[in-house]
Amino acid sequence: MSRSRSSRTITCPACLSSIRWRDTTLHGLDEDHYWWTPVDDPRPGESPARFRARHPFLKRKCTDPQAVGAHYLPDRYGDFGDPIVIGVVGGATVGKTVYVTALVHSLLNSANLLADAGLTVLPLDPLMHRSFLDLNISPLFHDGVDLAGTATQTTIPEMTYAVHIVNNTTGRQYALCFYDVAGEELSRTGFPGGSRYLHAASGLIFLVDPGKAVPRAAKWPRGHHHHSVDGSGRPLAPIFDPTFDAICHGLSAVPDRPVIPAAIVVTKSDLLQHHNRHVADWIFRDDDADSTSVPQESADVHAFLETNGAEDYLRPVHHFRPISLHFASATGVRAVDRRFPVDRLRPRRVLRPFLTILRARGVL
Amino acid sequence: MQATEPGDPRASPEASPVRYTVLSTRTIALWAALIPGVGAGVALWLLFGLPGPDAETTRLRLDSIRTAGTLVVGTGGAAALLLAARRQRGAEIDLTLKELANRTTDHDASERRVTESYSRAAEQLGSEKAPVRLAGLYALERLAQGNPAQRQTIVNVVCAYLRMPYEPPETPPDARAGTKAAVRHQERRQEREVRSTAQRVLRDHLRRDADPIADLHWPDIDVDLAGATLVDFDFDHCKVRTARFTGARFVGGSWFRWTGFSGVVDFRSAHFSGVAVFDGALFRHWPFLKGATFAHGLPRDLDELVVDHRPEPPATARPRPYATASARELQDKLDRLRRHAGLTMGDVATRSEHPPSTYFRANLTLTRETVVEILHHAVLEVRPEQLIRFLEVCGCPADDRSLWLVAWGRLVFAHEHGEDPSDADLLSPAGRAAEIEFEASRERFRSLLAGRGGPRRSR
Repeated sequence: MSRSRSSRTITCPACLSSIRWRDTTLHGLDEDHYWWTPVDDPRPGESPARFRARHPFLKRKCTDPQAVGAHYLPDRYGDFGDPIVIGVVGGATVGKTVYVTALVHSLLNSANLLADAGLTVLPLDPLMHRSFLDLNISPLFHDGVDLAGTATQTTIPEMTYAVHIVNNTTGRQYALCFYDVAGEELSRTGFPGGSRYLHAASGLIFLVDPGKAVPRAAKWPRGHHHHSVDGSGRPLAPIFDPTFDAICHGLSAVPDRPVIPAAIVVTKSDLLQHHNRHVADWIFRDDDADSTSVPQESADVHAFLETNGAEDYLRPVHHFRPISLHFASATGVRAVDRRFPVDRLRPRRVLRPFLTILRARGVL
Repeated sequence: MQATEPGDPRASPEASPVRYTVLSTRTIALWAALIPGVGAGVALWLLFGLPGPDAETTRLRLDSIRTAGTLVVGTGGAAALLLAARRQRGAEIDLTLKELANRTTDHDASERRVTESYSRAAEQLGSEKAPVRLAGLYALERLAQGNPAQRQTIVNVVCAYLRMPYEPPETPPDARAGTKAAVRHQERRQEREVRSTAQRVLRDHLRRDADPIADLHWPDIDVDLAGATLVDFDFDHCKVRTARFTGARFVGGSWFRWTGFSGVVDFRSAHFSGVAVFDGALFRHWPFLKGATFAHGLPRDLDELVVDHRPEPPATARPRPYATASARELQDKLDRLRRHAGLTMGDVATRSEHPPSTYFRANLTLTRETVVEILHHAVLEVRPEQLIRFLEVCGCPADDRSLWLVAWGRLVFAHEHGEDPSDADLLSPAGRAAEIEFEASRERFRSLLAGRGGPRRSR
């Protein structure tokens, strides 16, 4: 039986301090919807529904006195036991923001697929949900705008999105959040600083940009920044993403490091499908919820990266267990002048790594 | 010798130049020298060639000279005859040339008449007065009937007329609406009559059962009525090659009973506001129906269309997608794959409904339009899932499926970016070596996960 809410201790994913959830204080937006201000407890006899109607946007303030700045967690973040924190790792231009946006979009729009997998997924925080819709999902999927990269964070990283997950079979509930941290910072600082959240990570998704990892394998249209030959017509050499190294060595140095499941995802795989028959065979499959083919796909991705000179991107294979490897595409189509054709936007296989990590965490 | 066909232009006298030969000056001079020469020669031979100066000999010589004279005179006669024959031949040649000139003049005059009639009818069709437009239509019909070569052009003109914007008349305006409204209503009614006549002209001459003796049926005609407003369109029993009704508006009923279409038929975005009847309509290819709206629902008979009536030769070997250089070639190979599976296009659509796909979580059903799109139109614009489902239904082995996808993907890339992405042929030695290396790497990964370590790849 889970501990009562009052005695539960969780790790704040932002400052990594252990906080008693009971001690956190409720905060709501003020009348101007600008500042977070403390909110009184429900009035005597007031139903929770009525209280929520009065305060639609609530957060809890982290109580750690050592934290650099005030930071807030979703109201129900600590209600369901240890939250699951998924970190998305990759260099600056790999497309982490687009990937997380596509992942959240798929989570919110694939009820049938998730039901097949045995999950129900709902937004955890209404304000975060609204803001994510306005700033990420709507520009990408309705307007076709190629989202800008994550701004470099100097103090405390912000949670990108959080969901409330229910296992339909066991009835267990979880809070799950995603963190998308600027790649420049990870590679610059190694491990500390803004990437501290990785200490609390329950799972990691490493994103591989084929334009850098396998430039010879991917044929890009002339003039594209990922064009596969240099100015003199010679094939480009693979460029290693130092973020991978920073994470692998950083986490290896942590004593008594818990088991962290990880997934290596070759993004933008739709751009490789005309080159490699193995990519073509996987990328169009609609089997995100099928776990039986994950080992076979992992072997194919490993072979694809290794035979194309991108062995360095396979370092997490030696540091993380369990690990899976995937082909995926956040948009399913190439952007032209930073615009995606909206009618052809279709995320491919973005849920699969996520579900594989959940399976490894025992959520499924 | 090569025989000429009846329709071969080489067989006609107009097409091949005829050489009219006359006696040349050289021949005449030759003959003029030859005839006296022969006489003189014979006389000299008789006089000096025979022996003895006695009386008998002299008599013989005189006889000989006489004979020689007779010969010379006879030869001269022959020469005269020859000259007469030359004159006669010359006269005949003159006559033939005159006949040819007359024939050319007649043809020119006929063409001129056709052109004039055509121009006049077209002008009449543009008149503001409905009776004049009607006259123009009938003139065009008559012209086409008498000139088979002009039929397609005239059908094009009639179709172009029907494609002009038109709003059918509504209920007659009441007296208070004013003269202007009444005049407008009257004009629309008159225009409806003209358009009905145009539709009737098309129907009467495209009907397969039109009077064969009077040669009323115009065969192998393409009809382009895209965007036309067609009022009570009766196309029963017609037979045409291709028909475009893209975006057409069918006001009132429309009838296509037992109509045969031997080419592509396009009803995309057409709107049928009344009843649409397709009983027994015969389509060589599935009609395009994307975006077509039927106010009375999709006609049952259209839903149960039977196409592909002609037996197709089965493809003996399953085609492979290697070295496919163009979309057309890919479509040919896909079509061979379909025939190799022994399926008609109808079968492909039907079979895509069941059994469920083993590739996709949700079953993907192919519509008939999609199958036609894949095989005959824009294979590079279909979704990859649709192509995969097509391959699956046609029994393509799982190993080959990715090869088809690579071939398709390369063509899409080339189509979108104007450059061929293919760098390596899977069948080349380098391609085969890469496959072997790929399999070895897979095995290394499996060993690694199983804790066996496995050899690291040599670099």
